[in-house]
Amino acid sequence: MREPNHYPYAPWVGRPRITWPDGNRLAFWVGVNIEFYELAPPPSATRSVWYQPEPDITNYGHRDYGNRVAFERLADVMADHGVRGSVSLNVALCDHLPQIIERCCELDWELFSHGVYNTRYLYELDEDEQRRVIADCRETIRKYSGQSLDGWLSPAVSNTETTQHILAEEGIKYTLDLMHDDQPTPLNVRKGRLISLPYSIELNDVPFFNFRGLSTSEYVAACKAQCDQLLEEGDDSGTVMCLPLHPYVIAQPHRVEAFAEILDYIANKRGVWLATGREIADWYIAHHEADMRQWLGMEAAA
Amino acid sequence: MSALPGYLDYPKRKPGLDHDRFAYRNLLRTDLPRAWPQGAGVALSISVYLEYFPMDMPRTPILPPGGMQRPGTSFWDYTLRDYGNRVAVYRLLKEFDKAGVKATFAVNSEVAERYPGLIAEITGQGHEIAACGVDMGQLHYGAMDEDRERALIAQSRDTLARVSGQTVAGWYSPGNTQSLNTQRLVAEAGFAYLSDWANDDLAYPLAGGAGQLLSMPLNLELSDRRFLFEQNQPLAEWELRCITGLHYLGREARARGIRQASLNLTPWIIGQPYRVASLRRVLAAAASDRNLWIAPAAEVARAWTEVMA
Repeated sequence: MREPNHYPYAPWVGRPRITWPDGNRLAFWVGVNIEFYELAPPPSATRSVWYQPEPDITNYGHRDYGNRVAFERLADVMADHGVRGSVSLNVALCDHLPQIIERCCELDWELFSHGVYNTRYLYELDEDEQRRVIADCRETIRKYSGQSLDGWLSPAVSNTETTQHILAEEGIKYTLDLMHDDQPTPLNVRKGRLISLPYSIELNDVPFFNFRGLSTSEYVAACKAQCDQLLEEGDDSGTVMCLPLHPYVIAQPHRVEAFAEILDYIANKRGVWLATGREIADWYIAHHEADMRQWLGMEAAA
Repeated sequence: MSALPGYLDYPKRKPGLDHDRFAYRNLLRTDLPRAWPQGAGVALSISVYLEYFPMDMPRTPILPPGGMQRPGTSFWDYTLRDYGNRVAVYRLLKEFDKAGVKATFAVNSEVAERYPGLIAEITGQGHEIAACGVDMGQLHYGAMDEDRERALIAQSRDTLARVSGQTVAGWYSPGNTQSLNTQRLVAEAGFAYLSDWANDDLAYPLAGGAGQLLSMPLNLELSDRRFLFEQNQPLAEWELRCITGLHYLGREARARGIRQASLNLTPWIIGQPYRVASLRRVLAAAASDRNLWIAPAAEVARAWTEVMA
């Protein structure tokens, strides 16, 4: 039976206690997916890229709205609420639309990698090819922002069985490809170390709205309830809530005020740490990873 | 396993977009006039699709949204869509009249051939006729034959111009699908605007052809077909989101420059008896907003040319 094999089973109760900075109980972060879809990408053997024969103008156009219009709207709302973004970035966007990256840097947002384009998957790549993609992402992010590449979400969440091992070997600190927990967890990798951060895929606006066709009103209710529940559970041990968003979805004119309402609700709660992915990972690695590894019977991190 | 040769080459990775159909523009960072010539900050165009779905329409390579769903002979699918052209569209016309708004009707030319009286009713009430291909069984897609597509575009335009007596300025690709050549052929056919790209809240120029072809906004997310028919979202939510979106764009226009909004409607969906009151309330909210100028798409396209010159 094939399994991810990246983590031992860990029951939600009885774990070593996590505390966040300043006594906070919930680490909240916004994963902003800033993506670049190619209109005419190369084919993949694993999936069809577009939903209709190319050019798929309906779906390309929908996504293109993000970079033309919605990104700046989302950035304004986040700045108004004092919430920094952690950008899940298709790094080719740096070369195509550098003014978007400039705004992210002005706002002190973290940039991490979501591959080169959202239309170039990892599926058929061998290990050396994956390393080339990671190196490209690292160099591009450093060139445009001066930041180190610390986080990873595979492009279009295209997983391979070797990717997490390679991420660890390449010095990536955290991955978002696993949806197995509401706390950071250490991962089993063949060499080096890697932790998983919660990505809260159920609150990702693309599956919520595009795939499941749920309403904006339901989304507001879901985000508030997620915050309330995780904050309450954070009394026992610190939890993580992510809002994984795409400007083209959440910052539509008919929806962007709902996003502001969600941020109003969460950012003003006592006990919420407004963080970035990197800050959560660094805190966890510095304060909690060793205890958890020991409790799980994993070897100490290299 | 290893990638196909060239999979990690990125020949189009350079400033700008990865194609030459239109240029990149960052709307919120663009200096724009604060008002349309009529004084409002937002121009709203209402686009109504009048479509003919043939009983024996092909289901490949694309089944358009709203295409025949049931197997075999489906009177259900055929007649429900035909209901739009017999009953529901007249309901919409009445609501437009009550709200005092003029719309754009994006028409399959087969509808005009079959129901010229409907076209006369629409033009008689001062609405615009735009072209939406020939019928829903003849979509524009992929690498389809260029001569065949050119002929379909000409057939649609010429039939609609003949039956309506209007100059047909707008092109809406049936089912919102294009071939690799559609944009160029539409430009060459002399259209003033094309409304297929759901990627902006203000028109922008498209490449190709001799004259200028504008891309007019399309509201995919709030189209009744996506929101109510495909996603089955609640009707009250549709009403709320339509009004919320218009008001939001109004505020953004005052702060940052002119905007456009679009309402994309399908009579057999929104014109059902139990739904039409929601449309009435959306139209009433739009018509009472003094920052909103409601006009057919061709008129908004002309105003764009004037204020953006």
